[in-house]
Amino acid sequence: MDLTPAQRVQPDPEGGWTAADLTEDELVDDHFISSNAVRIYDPLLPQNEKLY
Amino acid sequence: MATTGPLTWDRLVAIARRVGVKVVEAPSSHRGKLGSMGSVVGVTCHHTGTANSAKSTSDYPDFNVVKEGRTGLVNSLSAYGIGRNEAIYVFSEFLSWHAGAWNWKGVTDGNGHFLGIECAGVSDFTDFQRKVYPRLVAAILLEIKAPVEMAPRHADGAVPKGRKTDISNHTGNFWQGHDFYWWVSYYLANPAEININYVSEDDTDMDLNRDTFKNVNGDSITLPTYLNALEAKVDKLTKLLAAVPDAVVNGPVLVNGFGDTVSVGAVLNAVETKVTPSKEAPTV
Repeated sequence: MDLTPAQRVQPDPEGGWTAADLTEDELVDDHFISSNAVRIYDPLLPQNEKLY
Repeated sequence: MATTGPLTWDRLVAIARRVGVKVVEAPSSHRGKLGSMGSVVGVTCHHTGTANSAKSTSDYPDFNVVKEGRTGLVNSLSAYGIGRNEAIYVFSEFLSWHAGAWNWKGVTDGNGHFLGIECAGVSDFTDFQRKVYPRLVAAILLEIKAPVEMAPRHADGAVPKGRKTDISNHTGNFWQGHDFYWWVSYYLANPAEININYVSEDDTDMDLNRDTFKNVNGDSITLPTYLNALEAKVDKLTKLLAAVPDAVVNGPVLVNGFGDTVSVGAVLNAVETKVTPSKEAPTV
């Protein structure tokens, strides 16, 4: 489904999203991030690519 | 206005990797479900609005919200994220809900033509972010062949004016005495330095007039200062030795082990005789 330019603005009627009102439950820690990444590239590690 | 067509996932990842920091690929489950993004003409600079004090041990606590959206805003919320201290996050090369009502340089479809970057925080930038954010912006602009003017803050493109503040605190001393856009322009002009690990050939050589070391007195001095002082001491010693008269060297000034008064020259000759190997074959 291709949205029209007008539709591409509609989901944000109040002008952008803000995380200022995020609940603590919506914030995540690094373990969650790692487990939800498909690939992590770290140039500082000898084996710098880890696949999940 | 430069256009490059939709950017692929691999291109987004390559842009991020160019910065030379950790890159976390976390594709949103909503990628492409709302259709293709239009030609990318710029990048929009955001901050997440989550203070660094919230979930302070996490590098990017807004990760799940930016990746998947939330009730009433179900989609990825930007193409990229920048963590507090560790990584750049890649979420979607497709349409993300990040711009809202928008007008920048005549482009009113901000979501369809600008890549969003959501930097963790409320513009209380960490050193990592101050070094990485302008680099990532420059890397994107180089990829789409766009000038620095095509990297507005959300606050610049959002309409009506004044409804958004991100990214604030970008003026003044963003990093090392220069503002945010000074750095973006700098990296556009010096693309090799977009890689945070870049070391120029000049930097690998010792800067003789800048780099110092401590001498035996504990003073921090440059190598030329040290060499000049050493040369002065050698000159002084050379002149002192030259001033010593031959009469002193050859005069009767020493008493040897037998109680005889001998000259320095005689002692040296005797020593030389003792240490010179004999040319005769040893007798058995």
